[in-house]
Formats: sequence, C-alpha cells, structure tokens
Amino acid sequence: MYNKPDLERFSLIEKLFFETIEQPTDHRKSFLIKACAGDEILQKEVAKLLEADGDTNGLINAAPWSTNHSTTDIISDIHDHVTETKTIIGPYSLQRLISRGGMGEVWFAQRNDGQFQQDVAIKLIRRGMDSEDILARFRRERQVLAALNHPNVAQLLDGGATTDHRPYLVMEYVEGIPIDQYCHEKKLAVHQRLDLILKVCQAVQYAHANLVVHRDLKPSNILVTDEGVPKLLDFGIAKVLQADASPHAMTITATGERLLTPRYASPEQVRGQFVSIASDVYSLGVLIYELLTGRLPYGEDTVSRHEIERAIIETKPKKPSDIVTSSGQRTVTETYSQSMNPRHIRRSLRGDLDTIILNALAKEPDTRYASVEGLAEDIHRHIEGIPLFASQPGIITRGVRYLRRHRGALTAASIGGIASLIVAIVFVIYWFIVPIWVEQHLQKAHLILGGQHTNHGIYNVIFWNTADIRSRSFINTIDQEVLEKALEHYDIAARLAPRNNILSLERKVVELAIALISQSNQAVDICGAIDGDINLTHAYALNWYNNNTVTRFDEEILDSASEDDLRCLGLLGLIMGDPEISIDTWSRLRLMSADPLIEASLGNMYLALNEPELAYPRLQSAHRAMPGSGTLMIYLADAAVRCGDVAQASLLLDRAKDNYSADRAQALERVSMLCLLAQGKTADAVVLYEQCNLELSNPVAAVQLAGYFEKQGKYRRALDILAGRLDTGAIEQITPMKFTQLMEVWWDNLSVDERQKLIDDPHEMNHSDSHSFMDLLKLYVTVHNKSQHPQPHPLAERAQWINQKHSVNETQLATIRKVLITIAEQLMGSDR
Amino acid sequence: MATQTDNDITLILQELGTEDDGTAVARLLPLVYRELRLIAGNYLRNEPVDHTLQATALVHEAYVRLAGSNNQSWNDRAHFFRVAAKTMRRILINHAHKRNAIKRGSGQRGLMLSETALITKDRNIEILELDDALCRFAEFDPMKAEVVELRYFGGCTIEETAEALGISTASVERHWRFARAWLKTELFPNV
Repeated sequence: MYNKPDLERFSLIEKLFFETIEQPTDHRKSFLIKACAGDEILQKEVAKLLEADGDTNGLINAAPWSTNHSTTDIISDIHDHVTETKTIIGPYSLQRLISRGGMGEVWFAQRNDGQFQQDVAIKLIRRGMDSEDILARFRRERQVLAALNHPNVAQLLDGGATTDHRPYLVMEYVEGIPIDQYCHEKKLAVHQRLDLILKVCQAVQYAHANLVVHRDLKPSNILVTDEGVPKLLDFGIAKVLQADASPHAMTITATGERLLTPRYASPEQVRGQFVSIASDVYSLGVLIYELLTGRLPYGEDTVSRHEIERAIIETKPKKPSDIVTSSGQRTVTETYSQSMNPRHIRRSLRGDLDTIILNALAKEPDTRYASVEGLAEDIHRHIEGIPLFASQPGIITRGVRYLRRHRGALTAASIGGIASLIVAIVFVIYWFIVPIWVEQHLQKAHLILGGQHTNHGIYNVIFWNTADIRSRSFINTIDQEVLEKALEHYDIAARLAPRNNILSLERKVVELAIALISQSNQAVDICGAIDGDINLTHAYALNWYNNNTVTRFDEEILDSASEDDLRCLGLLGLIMGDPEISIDTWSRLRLMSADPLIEASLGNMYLALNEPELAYPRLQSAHRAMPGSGTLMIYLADAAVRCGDVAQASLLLDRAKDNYSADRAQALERVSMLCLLAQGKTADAVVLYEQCNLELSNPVAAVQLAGYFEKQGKYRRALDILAGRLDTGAIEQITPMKFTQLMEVWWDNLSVDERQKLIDDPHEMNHSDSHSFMDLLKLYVTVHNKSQHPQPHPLAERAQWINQKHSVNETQLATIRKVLITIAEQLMGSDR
Repeated sequence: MATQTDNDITLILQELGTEDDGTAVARLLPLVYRELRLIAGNYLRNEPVDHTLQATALVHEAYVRLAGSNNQSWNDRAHFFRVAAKTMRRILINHAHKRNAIKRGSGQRGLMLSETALITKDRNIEILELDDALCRFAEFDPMKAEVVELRYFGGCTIEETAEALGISTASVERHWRFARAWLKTELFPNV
C-alpha cells in the first residue's frame, strides 16, 4: 500500500482519518468524498483505514498473548460452523469410521471447502466425557501442539466442538500400520528395528525440544507407512484428554473406560506423580523391549490391570536377552523371520541392548536416560560399536563387546588368543586416539580463527591492519569462507565427541558470527538456539544485530558471567573484530580451566599487546594440552624469550624447526631473531632480519628489532629500521605509531648541538644508515598527516610497546611534535 | 546475587533518566534479556495450564524481579518498559524464526491452526508479519510505532504507555487507534 514513505501524504491520511471519525456515522462518507476532492486513491486509503478501525474482530486489540483476547472466539466460531448433520464437522465431511474406542471415534474425513482439499483424521470425543474441560485444555495446548511440525509426527490441525458439544480434534491423516505389527509382518531383523526406533526417538526428541511430552507412547500410536516412515500420533493429546496426571487419570471413568494405556505407562504415571520427558523415555523403553523381544517387560496379557500397575512400580523387568530364550521362544520366532535362531537374537540383545533397555526402564526417573537424545545416542553407539554412556564397564568387557560386534572376521572360538591384543588396541583407539582427533580438529578450527601465522588468520587483520575494525569495511575483510572452514572442523570434532558441550557451544557461536557478518536474519534464530547461561553473548549479538555496534559491559557484570558466557563472548568478539572484549572475557577464565585453544588465543593477544608476562602462563597451559602444535611452540618461545627465558625459547624453537611448516616460517624467523638479540648476537639477528626479508614481510619483527635498538639508546638505528619498513608502503598501524613515537623521543634526547647539526645538513647520512634526517622527517610528516584520519586501533591504546616508559610527558610531546613539523616544513620549503 | 542485581538495576535505571541513555540501555539490555528469558522459560516449564507466553505478565514480572517492588519511580519504570518492550519483541521474533526454521527443516509445511482459523471470523497474526509491518510503519511515524510496541509487546496499558513516552493518554489513544487501523489494512489487505 505504501511503498515509499511519503510522509506528507501519510499525515494527510491521518488528518482525514480523524476528521472523518469525528463526523456522525451517516455523514462520514459524504464528508470524506468532499474532503478528498476527487483524489480517489486517497479516499480509498482513508476509507480502508476507517473500515479497519470499525472492525473489532481483529486481534490487534491487546497484547498478543494476554488472556483477555478472544481465546474463546475461535472455538465458538468453529462451533457456529458445525452443521446439524452428523457427517459434517466444520469444513470437514466425515467419510468412514476408522476406529472406535474408549475415548470416542476416529473418522477419516475430507476437507473440501473450495480452498483446500485435504484428507484428515478426526477424533470425535465420546459424549459424556467432560467436554468443557477438554475444550478448555485444548485451547491452552493447541498453539503448542499445532506448532509441532516434523516428518515423523502427525500434525494436529484443528479442533473444537460440534453443535452437540462433542469436542473433536482434527489431525493429519496417516495411512499405515502400528509399528509392532509392521515389524512382525515384515519380519524385520534387529538392526532394522533399531533403525525404526531411532526415527521414533527423533520425533519424540523434537517434541520434547518444543516442550511437549507425549505421555501415551504405544505401538498403536506409532504408525508406519508403506515407505517405512514411522509417524507418531496423538502428541500431547493425552494431556488434553486427561484432567491431569493425578491418579484420577488412571481410574475408571463412569463408563468403565480408561484413558491411559497402563502397559506403557511409567511408574510415576501409575503413581499419579509428576510426568516429564522421563516418562516418554520409559515408554520408549517398553516399546523397544516389545519390538525386540515380542513381549512386554511385565507379565502376560491376561494379567489384570491392578497387577500390571503393581509390576510397573515394583517388579524389575527381566533382561530382554533372557526373555527371548526362556519361555518366550515362541513369540520371538513368530515376530522375527523363521530363519532367525533365538540364540542369535539373544546374542545380539545381550550386553548393550540389555543395558540400554533396562536403563530406559529404570523405576526412578532420575536414574533413566536424562533425555531421549541420550537413549538414541546409546543406540547409535551400539550400532557403531562404540562404548555406551549408560554404563562404564571395565576395559575387558568393552573389548570383548567390541569383538562381538565385529566378529565378521573372527569366530567366537578364536577370541581367546588374540582378545588381549585387540582389547589393547580398542582401548587405545577409544581412550587416546579419538580424543586426539577431536583435539586436532578443534585446534585447526581455532588456528583458522585466531592463528597469527596462517595466511588467512583473522588475527592478522585484527592486529596489524589499519582497517578501522569497528566499521563495515573491516567486516568485509573477513573471509566468510575461512569461518566456514573453521565450522567444518567443528563439525568433524562434534561428530567424534557428540557430548562435548564446549565444542557445540563454540560451534554455534561461530555460526552466529557468520550470520552477524552476513547480516542475515538467521543470526536471531541462531542466537535463540544457543542454550545455556550465555546472556551476555546473546545481548552482545542482539545489539550488534540491531544497532551494528559493539557492547561494553561493566566489570561487575563480566565478573558475574558464567564461564560458558565468557568463553562464547570472547570467541564472538574475536571473530567480529572486537578483540577488546575477547581479552576482557577470556582473561576472567581461570588459568587451566579454559579450553587450551582459548588459552592459546588469549596468550597470543597478550603477546600482541606486548605483555609477555601475562601471555607466558596462558601459553604454557595451552602448550601442555597441545604439545604437538608447532604454532603454539613458536608463540610460547616468543613469550619465553620476552620474559627472559632464552634457554626455554631456543629449545622450543629447535622443536618448532623440526616441525617446520611454511605457514609459520615468518613467525619462526621472527622469534629466532628475538632469541639472537637476547643472546647478544645482534649482528646475526640483523642478518636474519634482512635475509629472511622480515623487513618486507613482518611488521612485528620490524617493531621488535627497532625496540631492541631503542632500549640501547640507538634511536637512529631503530628509526632506520622502521623507516625501511615504511618505505615498503606498509600500512599496518603499529609501524607508523612506533615510528612517530621514536622520532619524538629521539628528538627529545638530542642535545641542542646535535639538533642544529641535523638541521644544517639534513641530507647527511651516517655510515650504516640508509635514511637521512630529511628522509625521516618526510616520513614523519606523511605519517603524522595520515594518522589524523584513521581512528586509533582500540587495542593500540593498551599495547605496551607503543607506550614504553619514557620520561617525556604529553605536553612535552606536543611541543616536540610542533617543532618537528615546523622544521620539516621549513626544510622542505627551502629544498624546493 | 539477588541483591547485587537489584542494586545494579536501580543504578542503571537511575542513570537512564539522567545521562547518556545509550550506554545505560546497553547495560540494561543483558539484564532484562536474561530475566525475560528466565521467566519465559519458567512459564514454559512449570505452567502446564498455559503454554502460551503472556507478554504482559512477563514484562511486569521482570520489572518487579529486577527493580524490586519498592522502586516506584515512574521515570525508571517508563524507561524500563521501553527497553523491555523492545526486548520482548526480539524474543518473540526469535521464537517465531526458530519455529519457521524448524518448519523449513522438516521439508514440509503443514496447515497451521491459524490458517484453519482464517475461515472463521478470527484472524491470527503472524508475529513476523506484524514485525515487518511495524518496521514499515515506523518509517512514517516512529512515535505511533513505539506506542504499538509498548502496548503490544510490552503489555502496557494506555496509562503506562503515556508515562513511558511522556505524552498524554489522549494522544496515546489517538496514536493507538490510527496505528491499529493502519496495521490491520497492512496485515489483512483483503478482509
């Protein structure tokens, strides 16, 4: 309607709107026509607004979810649409009866109202049930239930009451047969049944993630389609149909019908206690038990309800593997293919599957799998032959189990001889190698994100570029591919260690950063999807998303943040080009408790700030955790040499040289140079600096070499080195800053005579220098003029090597600055 | 911990009125966000009767929890609601995006209750559409858009909205009436 904000027209419309409203109702139309003076579009727009104003049915009347909005309207509206004929309910026409049970009837129906044609299943609740309560509960639940949208969940579409006050629920129609019947008819093997169960678990997991507990999982609620896709019916319906989870739900209603299927009910449901996701875990346990053994965990079908309930609460179920070979042989051979020997089945159930099922069937909710995810994870682990989480049996059991799972090449008889060897290998793989793989991938991810010495390291951009990192242009320099590469490594690591929370958190944060950088709306999704106590990270991301700015938190807020939050916020900051927040957050992580890679990154940043004493312990801790990382060896050597630990540094450098990689050659050469300087081999250091072209390639090396000469009072030499670097057109901020500062300190330290000499003969060169005073002055002016423009790097103010202790104070510096510029102007003027 | 937070919020709220709003809001945001999420989480977990978020209740509860009931300065309250309404809007949009993402992920789009409800007189508003429309509306008249934000997402009454924006209740009513009509024509162009 309004494509471009035409503010004048908007106010005109508003004015007419209110003027017309003030007219008596029957004069409004004529008033409007007159007021619009032939502008028909205007007239139409205002008329439309007036119409909308008069329409009181719209929902924008109050807060969206406040109780006073018309929650009852929907139901009563549906009610109005129900015609008197029994075969039509709302827009649906009942086609055939699917089933009739305690709750009422289930009908196959079709919706055909000219808008949609759709097959549905309608659950028509029996007359006599407490329909008011059911409707009320349905109203409360429907939004949540309708939002469940998963390929393995039959969706709730609608609901209401017929004209004769029978509540009804409309659901997606699923054509299929109950899961137990499906397994039975298809004679599925154990592993095929497990695959099916995993799909069921996924659906339940999805519903749990949406805060819906099924409460009534049983084979007849899980239909399998012809394509073998399981569909779960009646999610959350038990809650709508039951008054509550109190014992009443279990008692017999007036007509002798029960609501809950006791065979699949959990002990807490039988007791009428609090129902949670653990109850669904239990019901899944019963389901798996039944699908794999063909029998229920407690007693025979003929047992009375009371006895079943008692068994659920009291009797410890028999191991599934025992059941199949004892009295249950008949059932087992019936449900599996004839060719399946019960003893084979017994063998495939014994061990892992016994453990998994019995764990799910634990009497106390607390001792069961904490989530369906946990249950599914162990089934996966069983399939893949990885040790379970549910129990941690001894190494030997583990190894023997491993052999049993992979006995394709081995027969049981040969186990004895080589078992111990294999056990040892398995032990090594699971306890040593997998963690190392995980670590390697994490390490790669971190190096990509924070690596100083990889070509694409974001670190390079952050620390040594003149880019104003708070601006969009900085964000543009971040290569999204690099981040995605890091993400790949996170993915691999996450697959190897699915339970590693830190890993998955970090992964999410990288994903979030990618979305923020690409200014994608997904950022909000991702932000919401990260669980845990990471409110500062969320707030930071939201502020970035909404306002494009970085957030600064108070010290006290940071002090009280959770470790996860600090970790995530720091990582996000690092990627978003806000290393300040990374330092502020990560430095609050206790030494050694932080992830070694964060320690490495933090240490690295301290190095950039020239605070080696702070960097050293962090890097040491990281190095202990990742002794094989060549990059880390160099970082650590860098810190060591700057802390005066030359012996340690050269040891590390030797090892890094054995571990050579072109990626980190520059860093290796630079730290070697520092080492030579520390050992007093100045000439060798300079040779290295020149030969390795560090002059051209490594700004840090130039600043560090200059710093070395500066400390010895050889200002001219130091300036010469920096000038050489500036001649190359280097743009990184650290060099010009250091150069300007050195010029000023140097000038301050010169005697009057020396100064005069320079002014008298500005082109004179010392024997070893390649830059005359004039050259230096010219650079000084250029740099000075340039530095007026770019915003100083936020870290530059903190960086100790810019602010090395000097006797010169700010006012003195300002005077010197003026003097130097004046001299430069005069000399350059006279030059021309 | 609780007293710590109480003090924080009181201090920040006091600052809100006095100096540069920007930094105070930045400091308030994480606190409000945390609190709202916490309460929303509790509602979802512990309130089997009502799975739906109640914006009004949420924001007011957050205020009481953060500022304490003894902090009755209207000025503080006003600022609080402005931040809270924005945050609430964010959270709800968040939630909607998440739900949409799940829908996309499952590869199929089922009929939503809101759609079936369209055939009745009732209309459900898709929160994301409302957000979009509100953003467009803000280009014309930011004040009216803020009225809607406070009323709709902050759960504020006419009086509270007037306090928060420092305008008369009559103006709020006027803004609200027009904004509502405008949004309706945007959201339901064919009705």
